[in-house]
Amino acid sequence: MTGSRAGTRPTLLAPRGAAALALLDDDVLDRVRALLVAGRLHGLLLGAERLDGGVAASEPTGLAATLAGRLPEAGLVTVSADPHDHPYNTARRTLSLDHVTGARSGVLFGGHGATVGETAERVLVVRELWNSYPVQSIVGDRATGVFAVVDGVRDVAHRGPRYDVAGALNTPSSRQGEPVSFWSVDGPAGAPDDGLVDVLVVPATTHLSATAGARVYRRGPLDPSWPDGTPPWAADGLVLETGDLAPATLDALDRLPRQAATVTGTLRHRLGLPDRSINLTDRPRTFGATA
Amino acid sequence: MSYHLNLSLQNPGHVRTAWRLPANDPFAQTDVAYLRRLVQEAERAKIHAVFVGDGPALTGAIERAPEAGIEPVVLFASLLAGTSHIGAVATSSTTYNDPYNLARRYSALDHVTGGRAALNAVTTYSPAAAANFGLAEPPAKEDRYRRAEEFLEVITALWDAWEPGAIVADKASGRYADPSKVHAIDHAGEFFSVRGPLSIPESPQGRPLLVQAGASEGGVRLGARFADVVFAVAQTPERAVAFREDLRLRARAFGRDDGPIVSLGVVVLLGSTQEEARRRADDVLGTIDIDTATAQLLASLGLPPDSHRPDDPLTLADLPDVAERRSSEGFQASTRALLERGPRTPRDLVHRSAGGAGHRLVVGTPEQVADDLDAWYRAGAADGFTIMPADTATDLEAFTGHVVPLLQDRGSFQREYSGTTLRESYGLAPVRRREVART
Repeated sequence: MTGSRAGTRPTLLAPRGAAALALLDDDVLDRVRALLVAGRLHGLLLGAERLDGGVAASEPTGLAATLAGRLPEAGLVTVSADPHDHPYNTARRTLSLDHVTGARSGVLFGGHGATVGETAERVLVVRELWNSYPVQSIVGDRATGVFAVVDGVRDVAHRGPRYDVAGALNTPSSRQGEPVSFWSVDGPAGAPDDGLVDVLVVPATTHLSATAGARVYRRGPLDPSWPDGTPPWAADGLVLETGDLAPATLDALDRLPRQAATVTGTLRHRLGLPDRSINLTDRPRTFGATA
Repeated sequence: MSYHLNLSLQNPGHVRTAWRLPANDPFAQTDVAYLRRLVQEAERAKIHAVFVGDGPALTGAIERAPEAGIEPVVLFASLLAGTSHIGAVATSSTTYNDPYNLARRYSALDHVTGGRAALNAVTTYSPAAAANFGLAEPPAKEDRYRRAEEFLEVITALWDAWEPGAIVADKASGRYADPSKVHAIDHAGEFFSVRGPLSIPESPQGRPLLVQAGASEGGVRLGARFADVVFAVAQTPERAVAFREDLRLRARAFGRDDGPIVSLGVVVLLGSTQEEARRRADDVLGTIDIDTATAQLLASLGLPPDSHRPDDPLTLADLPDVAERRSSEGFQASTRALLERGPRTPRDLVHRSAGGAGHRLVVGTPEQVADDLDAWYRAGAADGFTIMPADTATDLEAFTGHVVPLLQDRGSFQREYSGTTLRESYGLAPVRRREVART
């Protein structure tokens, strides 16, 4: 387990069911924002119902996009757990969320009912697509009329057991290299290969021996009876789940320790993670070279 | 007499190369703060809805001009936060989406916007898109439209499967939903097997609005059967009137006496004087690479790229048979109607549609543009217009700031919104829910 930003354990709130929709209430939103400003929370995880095979009360990327302007201090992490959502569509939507949040987004991949290998393929294709149209390609040269230098735009050229995807994605890459990637570990054998994701999210009660080179966040229900208001879990970060955002719940969140809040910059910066990208220069050029 | 007005948010504008103009920001397309200001300006002017097109592939045209960019549902969920009345027409492909997932996303957009979401359902031909989704080549046109029809059957059934009042939310008893009012759809068809129900309750509009833009046989059928709004393209009033009448008759054949409303696309390029408008037209259209645009135009018409130079006359007799063409039939029909009046050069056709995509370009002062819209409306060409700024950075606010007040003074356009949902704002009849099998 590696350390996070000195002295901090990034904390994500995961409102489930009606609690997610309660975020559309102005009073609730104001209190959540105050928790973010105070450094008790660092972001939201939306769609956590999907991690246990449930159904989300709203659509996570749409809800996150709606909240982005009202919660400028929040990292916004959405759950992607549906193997029927084609990776091109997943990559497009999640990278679009990264643009509308100003690079404050992340994706927690899960796969209730899917094997580790199937989810790993989906994550790899999505991450490669995120990198296939580098934002630096856009030069906007008025004199020559070249809008984008296409040399760097690459096919991902993925042919795998589940997906065949050409690429490139038609959304330019993120200012934070790529959105932060999380992986939901179901059990001891559920972790991906080294380096596939930035952060593993593990149920608070699950033993995990290998960490695949990633940070480990623990997730579990918020408990107002925790001594000092904070969970006794050894972890680089926390994911606190709640089914409501009633005043008593918000009061419990107010007892979380204040941490050194990093409320500007990319989500990677806020979570103490390095910038990240996949080098695709070995892949075919999508359009040949710019003349 | 009052008609609806939508605004396209496409950047840099309908003229895709307008980013080259000195005052324009080439990166505006992904500048969310800028796009948000445009939406707020459109709402201030009481515009009914904003619109963006989309497709799931990057093309080589990116070398010369911006393409899609931010996915429309995510974009509008962000842009409409903080607004209260303006609607959003987002575009998604029925060829490369799953109906359950898309139904959820648009229902959620309808919820978070308080009932202001519309799905512009398109079919996608692009070979690049096919390759992104594991297909060696695009599905045949008939297959795309058959899939689209089944897609819309499924999506509307999913939206209708939550009855009004299904959410009880009784705190005393702890009962949240009434299961007798939430139904599976048990759809089993050629393309999809979908059990349902949707995981999101009935949305504020009953269901999000459906918009259709296809002018082919399959597209018009979809519009007549499902659409609340049909986007149309026409270079002549006669063509627009005929299309609208045909659509009305077909909708009636589906039992829809209150068929879809028609929104005619118009590209606007404005100046405070005629001279300024002409000068701006020279500048904006001057950014177009005429050789490239000519080649694209000829390809869209099914002609070889070297068949005509930009200033060669093109006649109706030059065009191949309808059956040989694979591009937009709205564009085909619109161009054909124009050529029936006499030969045109490719340069003229490119400039008339502000780059060659088929919609009519109107260049003029605010009074001239207002006169033009009023005249086309009086001719029965449409129920309203989808305004596509030629150069968004200038023409969007020129339209909202100078044309809209004229139209309001004439009684042609609303001074206030007439409802809180987009359905109410358009003056559409309430949703006629389909009876979903009681399972």
